[in-house]
Amino acid sequence: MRYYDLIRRASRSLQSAKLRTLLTSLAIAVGGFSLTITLAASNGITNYANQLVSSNFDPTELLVAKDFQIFGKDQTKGPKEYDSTTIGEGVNKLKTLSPTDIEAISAVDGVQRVKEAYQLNPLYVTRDDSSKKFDVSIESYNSAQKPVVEYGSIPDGELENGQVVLPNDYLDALGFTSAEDAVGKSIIVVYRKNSASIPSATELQDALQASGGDVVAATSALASKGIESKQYKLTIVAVTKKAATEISIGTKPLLVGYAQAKEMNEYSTFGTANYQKYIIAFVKVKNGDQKSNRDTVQSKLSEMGYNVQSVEDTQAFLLNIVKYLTVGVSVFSLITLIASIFGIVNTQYISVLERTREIGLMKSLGMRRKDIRRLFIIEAAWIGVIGGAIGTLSGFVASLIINPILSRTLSLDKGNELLVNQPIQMLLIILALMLVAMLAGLMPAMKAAKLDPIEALRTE
Amino acid sequence: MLEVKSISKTYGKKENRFKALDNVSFDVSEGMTVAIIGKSGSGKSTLMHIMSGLDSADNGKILFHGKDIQQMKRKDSEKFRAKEMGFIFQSFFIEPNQTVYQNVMLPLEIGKVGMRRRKAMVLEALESVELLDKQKNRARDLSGGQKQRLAIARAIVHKPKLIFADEPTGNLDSQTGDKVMNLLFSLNKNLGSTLVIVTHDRELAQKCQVRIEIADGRIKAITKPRTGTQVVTSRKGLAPKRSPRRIM
Ligand SMILES: Nc1ncnc2c1ncn2[C@@H]1O[C@H](COP(=O)(O)OP(=O)(O)OP(=O)(O)O)[C@@H](O)[C@H]1O
Ligand SMILES: [Mg+2]
Repeated sequence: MRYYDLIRRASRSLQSAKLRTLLTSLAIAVGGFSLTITLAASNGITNYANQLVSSNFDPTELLVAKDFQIFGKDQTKGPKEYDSTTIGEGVNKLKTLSPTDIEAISAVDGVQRVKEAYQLNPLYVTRDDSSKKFDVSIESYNSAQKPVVEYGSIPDGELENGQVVLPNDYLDALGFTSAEDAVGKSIIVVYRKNSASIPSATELQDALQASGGDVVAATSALASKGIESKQYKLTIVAVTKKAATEISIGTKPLLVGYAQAKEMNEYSTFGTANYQKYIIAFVKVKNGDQKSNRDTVQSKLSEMGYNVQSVEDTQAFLLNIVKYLTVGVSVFSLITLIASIFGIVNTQYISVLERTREIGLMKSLGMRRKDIRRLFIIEAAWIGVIGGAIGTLSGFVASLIINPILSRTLSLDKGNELLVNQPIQMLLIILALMLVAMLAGLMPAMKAAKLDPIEALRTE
Repeated sequence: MLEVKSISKTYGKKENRFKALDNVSFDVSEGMTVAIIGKSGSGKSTLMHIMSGLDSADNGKILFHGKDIQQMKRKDSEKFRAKEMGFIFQSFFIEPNQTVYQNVMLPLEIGKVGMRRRKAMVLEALESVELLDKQKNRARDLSGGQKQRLAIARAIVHKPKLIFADEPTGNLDSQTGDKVMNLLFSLNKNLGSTLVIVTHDRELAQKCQVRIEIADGRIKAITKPRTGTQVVTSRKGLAPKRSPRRIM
């Protein structure tokens, strides 16, 4: 028989059992649906991760740390040996970069400049004339982050001392009516000298004596007196709004210039264990837009014993997570597929039994064994295609419905959809489901091909 | 054209053993009309199935133009059935859910007849059984006689050299039966197709050139009704052991 005839014949027999065909293919459709959604999510998240990396990191920079727990590269098992140069508590200690390290890194051939990443933990932020104080976080500005400016402008390159970029979250709290209103005005950021807040034994003794042994009173007296702080008056040059591809949880940080950040950091940590200790430094590579230059510097720094991460590494790290997630979810889709395979085997088997006479007739009229086998495999393939089409199309429709909801809840910008369907992928899913269905139809098809025509003709 | 040589067929095992055919031999020459008659259960259908290569015999040979169809490769035997042979089954064996047209098309699809020639062939076959007006109906909606005629149209659509008909008039009233028989005989005349008919109908058997009577799986008599001569008679229990007889 010709393939054309077989395909037509197969679709005719499926049509004469429409409900059964539909129900069987629905089982396949469930697998197709979940595969479609999984792949769409994987596409979307991959896109998102790529954008995230490219809009938060300067591709010409390398991230350098001393501790290998950073970037998840520490492979040691069991407890770590105590190291007196680390900062932090208990098992959460980290080795840090010292000014000596920074100097050594700067001296490496091909390094343009090194910037330490500062941990900036201000006490509060406030307006000149306002008595209200707010918790705040501050980061040093990095031009690679390309913040989305609502009003004002950020001079390219670097913020100067005394300048600040304010996220629009703070406008209301600080009493600005709008972004326009805020730009040009100033705010005050207050830092505490952390070392000073730790009272000495004699201070404690004195305070206790003064309060007549009341511990609570003594502590609060110490606290109000012990805070040595410094005010930084900063002029707002720009107000930013949230970008879709921003890595920030909770309130966004205020941005200050690198030099400003350094000063703040050194003031607040002076005299503590954290003084001039840096967890991460950003190393800008000379002509770093060329990967080979980055690679040479990366390998040199690695040889020196530093933990070096390029933007590609970060990207790969993120994409790896996406990959594992995709594989994990796909396994569930595969389980539903396996269930639907049994469904197909079952219905096709019943179909063969029901059509014993038809098969006997075709065989006795001289239809080739392999054609009978093909006929039933093609029927199964049809079921797979129908199920695949239903599954992928409903997955596509579901994406259209879910995307706006997801974008709203995650407050993503337009064009940042988390479920991205690719037509080729959808076609491949349908094709794969067709193959799965054909595989499932193989056994019943073999049975049909082996039927003895005489036996078949005898069955009433 | 077709030589049946010492065919035996046994069904069942041990105490259930049943000899359906016992040392059956005869020849059928090209263009001949042959009637196989006998009581129910005498082995007529079994013989026909073996002659057409659908079933296998325990002993003996079926030679089609000198080639043993039992020894053929499966592919060749399938080809033989698809190309050379038409079969009208005892119970119509039509595909009830397909249309009349699609039913008749089946042998052409199996025989890989080109798309262009198909339509004309199907229509011609339907016309000869007077079912042209029913071609779009579903086969299950036909009456008994129409179903039988449909089965005939399907058997003759590819103009086979050899047509087996197992009780083609069995389910029909005598008038329709006559019509169907005339149809088969006209095929024999016009196309020169060899006709092998199993029948209970004495009158129909009379019209055939050769009549083979079977009793309990053995050949009881082979006669040429037109001449009235009884070519061979074998009494029960005394099966002929000689070489097959020419019947021409
Ligand atoms: N598969 C089988 N197993 C056991 N016995 C069988 C089988 N097929 C046929 N027989 C027996 O072989 C004998 C011949 O059967 P066959 O169908 O050839 O008879 P028939 O002459 O065509 O009868 P009818 O005129 O009723 O159609 C019968 O007794 C039948 O019961
Ligand atoms: Mg019979």
